[in-house]
Amino acid sequence: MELIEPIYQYAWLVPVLPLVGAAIVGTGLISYSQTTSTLRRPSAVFIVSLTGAAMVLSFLLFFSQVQGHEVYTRTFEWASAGDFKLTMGYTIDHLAALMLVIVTTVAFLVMVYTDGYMAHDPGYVRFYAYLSLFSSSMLGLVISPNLLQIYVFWELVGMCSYLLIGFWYGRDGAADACQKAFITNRVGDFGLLLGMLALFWATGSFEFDVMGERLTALVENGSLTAGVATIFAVLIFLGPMAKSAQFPLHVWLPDAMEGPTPISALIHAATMVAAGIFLVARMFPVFEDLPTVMTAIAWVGCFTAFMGASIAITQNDIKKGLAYSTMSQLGYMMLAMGVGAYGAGLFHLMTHAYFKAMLFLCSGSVIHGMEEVVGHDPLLAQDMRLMGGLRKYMPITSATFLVGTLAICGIPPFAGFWSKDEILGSTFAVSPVLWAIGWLTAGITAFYMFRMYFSTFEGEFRGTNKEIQTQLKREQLMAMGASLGPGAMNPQELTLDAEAEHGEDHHAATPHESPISMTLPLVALAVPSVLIGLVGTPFVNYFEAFIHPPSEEVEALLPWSEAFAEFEWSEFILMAGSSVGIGLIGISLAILMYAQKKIDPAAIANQIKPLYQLSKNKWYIDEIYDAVFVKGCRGLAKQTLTMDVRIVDGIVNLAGFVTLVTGEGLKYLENGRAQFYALIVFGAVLGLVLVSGIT
Amino acid sequence: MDFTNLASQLNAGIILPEGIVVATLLVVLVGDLIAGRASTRWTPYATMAGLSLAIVALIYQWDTATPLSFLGSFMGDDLSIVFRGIIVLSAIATVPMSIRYIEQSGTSLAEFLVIMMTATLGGMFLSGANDLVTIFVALETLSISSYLLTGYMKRDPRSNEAALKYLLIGAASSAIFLYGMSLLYGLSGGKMKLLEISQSFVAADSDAPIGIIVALVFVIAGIAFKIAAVPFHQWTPDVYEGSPTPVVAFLSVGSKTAGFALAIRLLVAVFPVVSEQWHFVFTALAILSMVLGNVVALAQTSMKRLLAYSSIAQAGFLMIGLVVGTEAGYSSMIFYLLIYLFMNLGGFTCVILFSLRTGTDQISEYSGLYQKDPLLTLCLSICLLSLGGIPPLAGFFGKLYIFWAGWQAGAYGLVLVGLVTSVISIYYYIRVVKMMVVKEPQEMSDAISNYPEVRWDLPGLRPLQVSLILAVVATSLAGILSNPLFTLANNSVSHTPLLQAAIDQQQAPKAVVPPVATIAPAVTSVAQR
Repeated sequence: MELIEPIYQYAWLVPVLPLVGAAIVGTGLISYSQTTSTLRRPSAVFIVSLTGAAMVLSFLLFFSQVQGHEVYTRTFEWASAGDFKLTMGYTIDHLAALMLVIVTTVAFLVMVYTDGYMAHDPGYVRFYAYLSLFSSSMLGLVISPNLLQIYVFWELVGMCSYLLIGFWYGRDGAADACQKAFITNRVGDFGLLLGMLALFWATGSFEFDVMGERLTALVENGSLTAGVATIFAVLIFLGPMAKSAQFPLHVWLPDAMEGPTPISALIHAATMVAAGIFLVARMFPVFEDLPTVMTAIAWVGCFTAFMGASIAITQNDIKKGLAYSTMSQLGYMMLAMGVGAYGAGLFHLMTHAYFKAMLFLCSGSVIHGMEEVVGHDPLLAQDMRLMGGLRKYMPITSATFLVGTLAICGIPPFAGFWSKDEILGSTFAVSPVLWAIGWLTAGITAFYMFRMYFSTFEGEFRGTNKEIQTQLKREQLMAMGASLGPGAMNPQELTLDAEAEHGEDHHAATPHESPISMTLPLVALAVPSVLIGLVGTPFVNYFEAFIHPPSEEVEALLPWSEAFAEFEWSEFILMAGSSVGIGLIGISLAILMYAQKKIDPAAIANQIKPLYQLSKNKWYIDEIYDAVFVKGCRGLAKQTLTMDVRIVDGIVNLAGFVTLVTGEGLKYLENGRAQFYALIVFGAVLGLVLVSGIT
Repeated sequence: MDFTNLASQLNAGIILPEGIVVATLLVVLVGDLIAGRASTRWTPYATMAGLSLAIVALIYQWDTATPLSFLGSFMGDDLSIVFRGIIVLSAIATVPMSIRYIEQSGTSLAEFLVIMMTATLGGMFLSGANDLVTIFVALETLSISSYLLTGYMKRDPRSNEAALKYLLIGAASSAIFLYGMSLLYGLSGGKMKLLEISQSFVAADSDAPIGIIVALVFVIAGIAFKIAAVPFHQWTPDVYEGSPTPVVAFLSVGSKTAGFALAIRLLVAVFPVVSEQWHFVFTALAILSMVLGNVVALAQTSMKRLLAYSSIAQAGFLMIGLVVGTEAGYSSMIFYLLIYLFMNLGGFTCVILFSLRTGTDQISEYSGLYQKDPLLTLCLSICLLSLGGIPPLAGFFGKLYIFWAGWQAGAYGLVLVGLVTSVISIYYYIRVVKMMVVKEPQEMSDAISNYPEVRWDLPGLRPLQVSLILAVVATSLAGILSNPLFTLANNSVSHTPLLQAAIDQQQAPKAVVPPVATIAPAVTSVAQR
């Protein structure tokens, strides 16, 4: 115990260490921009080692929690006015310890990877500073003891996400995407803030369990109707909805892929987007007694899972495909939360964090390799139609990608199988309909992930194919032209070919494997992607025993041999078998269509054109939002402006005009004749006498 | 021995500040006669020193135990001390403005100072005057010296015209005022002291007889002429435009303050029986002044005329405090007068400086001043914005207190008119600021393109600079650090029995015994001692 206690006392160092790194490097960037920018390697080593230290500390905390150390909370009074008190501090419990480990490991590996990926970027040091700031905020978020502090860090991670998506602020796409992400998140955060304040109003506390208890008590004794409590909870849920990219606030996540790929891996796959799930888990004491809210969460998650998967089928951009896959997987986690499978949801969060971070880093590695061939144009470097056959050139990347793909498809014994199976199993117990959708989604997931794998790593390398390149550019121009308005002849089109010819000269004909700093994290992440699932097998669920809702008692774990004996095999085989089965069907389809080319995907797409278009155009959500919210807002603004110009300004101008005219008119009473003045004086006296005499 | 005895019987120590002013006046006059033109080097400073000494004497008389002197003819209570202080301060501030101005016009400075001190003396006596004769004599002392000051630029026909107009209208209003006083004398059965008059009215117990109302209106006409309230304002623009600018500065602050002092004392002491009527009349005057002053100011092209109308409008705002008649009302009015002293005199100093350098008062000539003289632009902008009531300058807080007092007392109509018209006023003040600051170099007026090099070492400019800076600093800070000034204003109201009685009466109009009657014997007993 003597050894353990100091770890807890200094647990605050976990978020503070990266913050120190960010602060020092950030200050350097602001004050001595030139010098700091040239200190690339030292800055990187400094920040990575700080994160490493935080990781070590997190692991120590985690092991101590596994060994059964009690929950450790330390708070101090932050602000107090009368009996109104706000406390800040940190709490280390099972959930926080787990999240610390996930965040620090992924962050550490992503930082190592970044060294290779961003090697040629002029913003290398700035990127590290942002990364470090993000890690710090995220770590602060997970150890927050109350909702208010979570909100503070919630906004901080949102801001970091904004900064990192818009890291290449010179690109229009990135600049737009970071604003879109920020504004969409604002919508959710506003709901969260309202819900938070409403809950504080109702319960007088920001502590999770206190809030839950008091809210339940209030609903029971009738001083708060269940409907109002539900509204509060749904408002809170708006926050996770935006942060975890749940329908209908998911629109920002795919666009967020404009950021550098390490960011996509760290923030938009492994950690920040999981913050929504984390918050739902933290708020579980509040949510679990409100069945309506739980059902809503489940349905939102389920729908998002299906929608994301259905869109991912038709994406050609490798990162966009992975983004929709992330959205779909987040939907699974939300579904798990909604059906009350708290442990399963967080289990999937953990396994997903590792394999999806790895997949994204693989995609980054692929893009890095493709840029050698097609140049630094995200349009070309990220398009799967230009890839193919990369396995030859990038063996490590392709192997790890395959591991990740198998994991996400739910093929045993990879990590994704155990967690996804657990979610589907729990869902079936609650609602077969939700299960059916989730099950179908699992099949689609297997299909699109293998489509992605085959298009990228198998077959012929198409990167040097000028025709496809030209076609891609033309498509983009058409998309731009369409948004600018039809009928406009685009002069750029004429120069396309010449440009394409010109662009090729300096590039290599084949991609190459990425440097060791990039492949090493891939390999490192492959290990948990394969093995981590084994801690949560349905036979002996260590994970469930470790992570469970505060309100639930978990039975003691049985040894393996007894567990096998007592386990209900028939149910497991049915559930697992069906989900593996549909996964295999998806994979077979993908093999037939993309590896062996026995079925022509284009033909199928033509046969079900409307569905294909629906998927390809992302269910037209962006268009709908554009029509309803963007155009609606602009229309409202225009009308208000007209109103303001015509009526308000009119009144003001009229008032001003009348005043001026009156002034000009009255001026002539001042005619400079003293006798007239005297007359007025006498007249006024007489008038005043009359008036005040009569009244 | 006899003299000391007499002096103590008359309680002559109360008028020590006035005595100091008279002594200074004599020193300057005799010194000028002896030393001739060479005296210009020291007379202004002697004047300022003497007037400052008077201020010190006033401070020492604060809260004096026996304010009544000269057998009840003069009242040295805190209210009168505040008003006398404001008048003396305005005179002090006028001196540095006038040194260079008078020098440049080639007339004698010492005579100007002597006449101005006479006017100050009149104003001071008016602030404390407690019987009809003292009031009239003090008023005429102030008025006649004002006429002289107005016409001081003997060679300038505009100055002559202004003086003549001022004299004619002033005489007419004095006549009306005197008629009103004679009515009071007659109706009260030959009483001279203000409180005795009101006592006799109360004793007669007639319900607002027409005679008293006529007397009231006639008296108000005289007061309204002094404070330039609409419709007794028409002399103001003509006189302001024609007179020497330092005189205008003094008239707009010192003379106006004396008018307000007279208004408070006379109306509150003599006319409690017809308080409804005088409140009504002043409400009408306030509304007319605010509206007409601000609206006509929009159409002005001359800076001095603009400030003339602005001062009419400011008098309208001040009257709100008088009309509501609560403690907050009176003290916010005194507070506003103090602030108005700084900002208006600061503004006039800027105008004088500008006309000294360019020889014009036209607003259009100010365009582009920022390019040539940023300091003057800054000072004038601060003063004008403060007059317009832009936070955080002093004028904003002055208006805030007045409007707030009015709102609390339920004078919603007046406050609303005040708010609307102050919005209008912001337009014409900012127009000048915009003219000075925003204009491009090529839009510069002729006066500005020929603007002389900014020099402060010419004779008489240094004191002007110092007084300007002081006024601007006071205008900038008096609002934020308003507490001492506001405490002063509050104390002057709460330490004055006359106002306390009136406030009590206002708050409890149905009291069986009018409070004036209870205080009056005490006062008369003091007087008879």
